[in-house]
Formats: sequence, structure tokens, C-alpha cells
Amino acid sequence: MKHELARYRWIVIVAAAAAVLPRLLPDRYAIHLAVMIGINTIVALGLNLLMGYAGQVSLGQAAFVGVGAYASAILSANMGISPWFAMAAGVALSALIGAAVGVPLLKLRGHYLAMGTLGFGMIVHIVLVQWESLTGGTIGIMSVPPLKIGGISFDSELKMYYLVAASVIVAMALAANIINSRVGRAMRAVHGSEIAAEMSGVDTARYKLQVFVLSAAMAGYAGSLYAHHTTYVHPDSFGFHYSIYLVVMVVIGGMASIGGAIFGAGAVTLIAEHLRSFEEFSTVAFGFILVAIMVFLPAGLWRGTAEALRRLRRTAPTPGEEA
Amino acid sequence: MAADQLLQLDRATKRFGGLVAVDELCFEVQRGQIKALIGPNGAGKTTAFNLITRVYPLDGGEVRIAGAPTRGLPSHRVAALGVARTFQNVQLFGNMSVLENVMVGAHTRGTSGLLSSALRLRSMRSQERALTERALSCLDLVGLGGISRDTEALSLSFGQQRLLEIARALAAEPQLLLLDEPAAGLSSAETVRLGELVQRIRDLGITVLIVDHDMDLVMQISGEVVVLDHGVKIAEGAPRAVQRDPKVIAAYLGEEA
Repeated sequence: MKHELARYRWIVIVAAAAAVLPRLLPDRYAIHLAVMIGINTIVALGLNLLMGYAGQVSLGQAAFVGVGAYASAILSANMGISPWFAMAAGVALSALIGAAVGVPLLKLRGHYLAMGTLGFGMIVHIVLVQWESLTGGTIGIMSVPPLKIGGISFDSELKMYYLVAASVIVAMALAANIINSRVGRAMRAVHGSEIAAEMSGVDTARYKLQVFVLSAAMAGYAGSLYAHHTTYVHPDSFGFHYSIYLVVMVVIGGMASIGGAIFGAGAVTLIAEHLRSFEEFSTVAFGFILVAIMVFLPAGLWRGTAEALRRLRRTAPTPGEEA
Repeated sequence: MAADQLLQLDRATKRFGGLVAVDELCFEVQRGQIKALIGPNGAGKTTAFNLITRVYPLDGGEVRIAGAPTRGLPSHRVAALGVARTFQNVQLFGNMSVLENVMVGAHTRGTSGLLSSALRLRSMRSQERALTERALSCLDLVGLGGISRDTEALSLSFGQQRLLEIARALAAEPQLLLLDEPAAGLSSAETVRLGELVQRIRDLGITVLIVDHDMDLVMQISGEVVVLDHGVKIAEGAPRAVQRDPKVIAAYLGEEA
């Protein structure tokens, strides 16, 4: 069906851009940053489904990334299990833990849910630090082997880049499909009015849990990619700071926006990287940049920039052109 | 005939702390009728709606829908039994379009899950087309057929928002439609059209229970009226009889009967 394929037209553009990008990047370090942006995009997409669309805040999303990363690292580096299997296990474990903590946590609303997920994130961080025999404690786990499928080993920045880019595109397509479906509408209805959703026959508790588990699984997948990409996992990579960064990616990318995830992840990853030289002042600078974005582009980078461009281009408003 | 009783409240009771908001309320709604629930502010009308739809749990008594007790059911299961409602303070999904709002109303009429949605399987797509058709016909029915389907729900006028809520409720193809003050905030012309719409809905075979303060509307369209005051039923019967009831007059005028 022609109409059905038209739905995926954007993929051609994004895929073309993704294919060209590495040629424009100066060095391996830049490609590494692009991989990190892609990994963060996948987490931000999942978190945006949860926060932007279903209206449920998570301040502990880093924990699910950590679970995926550590599961992959422990299974492949310490136990010699095939990295692909380790990755699948990491995704499954993240989803499972998401389901287990989601059932009690999602009974909470608003600030209380934020506090609950915050606590969950801290608990996972403490476990990663303290369970030395399994996680390597504060030393972490080194020499995580690269992903390998058939004859291809994803052992270079560039190969990893293409894998991550493909993952991002697939994740975006699936997320867009979910949003525009019965399931997606039910999730958004929970955000719009929980009582009206219930009275429309939507089992709000079930859909909240579903989107929570989905976001956890996406975070777990991204975490696994991270472990095999950097070959090294450390507990502080998955602490409270990273959870906040993830929320910030969603907010500045634009709540309830699929395309915004790339921009949010890109902006935060690059800003965080470039502010490193400021050391402790980096947090201050980061805060200023955030405030500026929220003041000037409250709809997020993606939609905010598009709107600003439209306003610039439109010299006189033409009637009947709005919406 | 018991089979014709779509909704039964049997000594339904709700307390908020020391206040008895609804006190041993008993009434029935027959299939195919328009019945009104009226009373002064604070009489417990919306609370009664919330008991029927199980937004609040009952503190006593029972509510039955088509003979089946609703005790212990969550609200979405009550909806699945064929009960739809609108809200006194409009509860639209502000993050969705007009069409999507109505499509959520048809949620119980679909079955697509996460996987078939993510992959857009053929079954999901044909179901999606059917849901869209249904939603569009509901928008037509309430008179919003002329509005662009992609309009944001909250950008509609207040009167249109009330109609959109009704369209959303109808999309579920309910047996029983509960309308909570649908005429509040409407102009008199809009109210007249609303009355016609409610009668058309009844003619489609949907039973209606309506709460409203607009007495002209209520008396004109309802077959029967229940009057509440301070959570207690003080009168029930044909509109004319109820209007002449001294207890009702006293409740509205605040006199001692």
C-alpha cells in the first residue's frame, strides 16, 4: 500500500543524513561522540514515551541503562557468553526489573512518582557499587568484548556508529507507530485526563506499566550498546546525574516529540562533553544553558526552532494558513 | 420487568468523613428512557455519577448494571459493561486532536496491542480504519462533522468541547450514557440543540441519565425525574408531577416544608 509506505518517508532522509555524517566528522573521537548521542537518543525516546506522552516522570532512568550495561558486561566479559546473547539478556533484565518496580511505583503520582523513581535509581547505583563480587564495585568492569554477529565484529567506532544509527531509526519508527495507535492513544489519554481515560475503558494502570517497561527495555538496550562500545562500565556512569541529563534531553528536545529526542540527546551530550574542561563549574554553565533554552524555546529545541523559523519567514500572516 | 432495568441503585451510600453525600439512594433507569437527576447544588448528583462509574467506592448498598453488581470493579471495567459518561468540568485529552479524542472513546471496541501497533500489522491497520470511521460518524452525529479532525481538542469553543465529550462517549457504543451538566455554560440556542441531540441519542437505543440545572431542558426531554437534596431522594416521577411536589419546591426555594 502506497499510503502505508508514505508513513516511513522520513526514514530515507534520516538514513541518508546518518550515512553521510561520518564523512563530515573530523576524527574517531567525533564519531565516538555521535555514537554516544545515538545511544542517548534511544534512552531519551523511551523516556519521552513515558514522560512526554504518558505523563509519568522517571528520575531513575539511568538505572535501567546501568542494568543493561552491567548485564552485558558481566555476561560477556566475566562469563564469556556471546555478546549478542548478553545484550538480549540485558534488555530482558531491564524490562523485568521495570515491571517489578513499576507495579508498586506507578501507583504514585506526580512528585511522589518522581521521588519513588529517584529512590529506585539510587538503590541501583548503590547495588552496582557495593556488590563487588559481581559488579567489580568502584573499579567497574573492563575489557567488555565488542558485539559480533556472524562474521561482522562491531569493533570500530565507525561500525558501532552504523549499528547505533540503524537502532535509532528503528526505535523512532516503532515509537512513532506506537504513538499513532490504539495503545499510543490510550497512553496519551492517561496524560490528558486519567479519569476520562478510565471512563473510556482504558485500563490506566496497565498502560502506565506497559510504557514504563517499554522505556526500561529501550534504556537497557542502549546500556548494552554503551557497554560494548566503550568496553568499560563504571557505576558512576549510571548515577543520579545521568538520570537528570536524560530528563533534560527529553525536555529540551521537546516533550511528546519523536524527532526531538535526537536534538535533545545531541545538545546535552555535546554540551556536557564541552563543559568538561570547566570541571565543577560545568554544572553551573549547564544550568544556565538549560534556563536559557526553557525561557526562549519552551516547546523544546525541535519544535521551538521550527516555530521560530516559521515566524521569521512569515512577513504577513495569510488567512486560513494556521494550524 | 427486571430485564428492562439497565441501571439500579440499591441503597447506594457515600460518606466523606462526617458528611453523607449520598444516603441510601435507590432508583432505577429503564432501558431506552431519558431520566434526569436533579437537585440543588451539593445535593449529591455528581457523587451519584461517581458511584455508578466507580470513581468512588460505595460505602454501602449496591449499584447494578443490567443486573450485574459493579462492586469491586475498576472504572474501566464499568465502561466495558457499556457505561459512558461526560464530566461537569470538561475532561478532554488536551494533548490530542479532535479525532483522536473520539477514538480513545472507542478504546473498548478495539483489541490492537503494543506489538501489532509497533509493527503496524495488517489487522491493526484495518482496525484503525474502522475506528476512524466510527469516530468520524460520532463527530457527525453531535454536529462537529464540519471541524477539521486534526484540530487540537482544547482549541474548540466551550460548547464544542461539551459536544466533543459526548462524541467520545458515544464512540464506545454505550448502553447507558451519563451526562453530567451538559448544558452548563452553553448559550440558550446551544442548549436547545443539545436537547435535540440527547433525544436523537435516545432514539438510537442508548439510555440516558442526565444531571442538569437547566429545568426547561430537563423537563422537556426526560421521561422521569429523580430529585435529590442533601444526598437523599425526595421525589421521583414524571416531570410535571415532580415540579408540583411541595418537597421539591421547598428544596429549591430553601423553605421549610
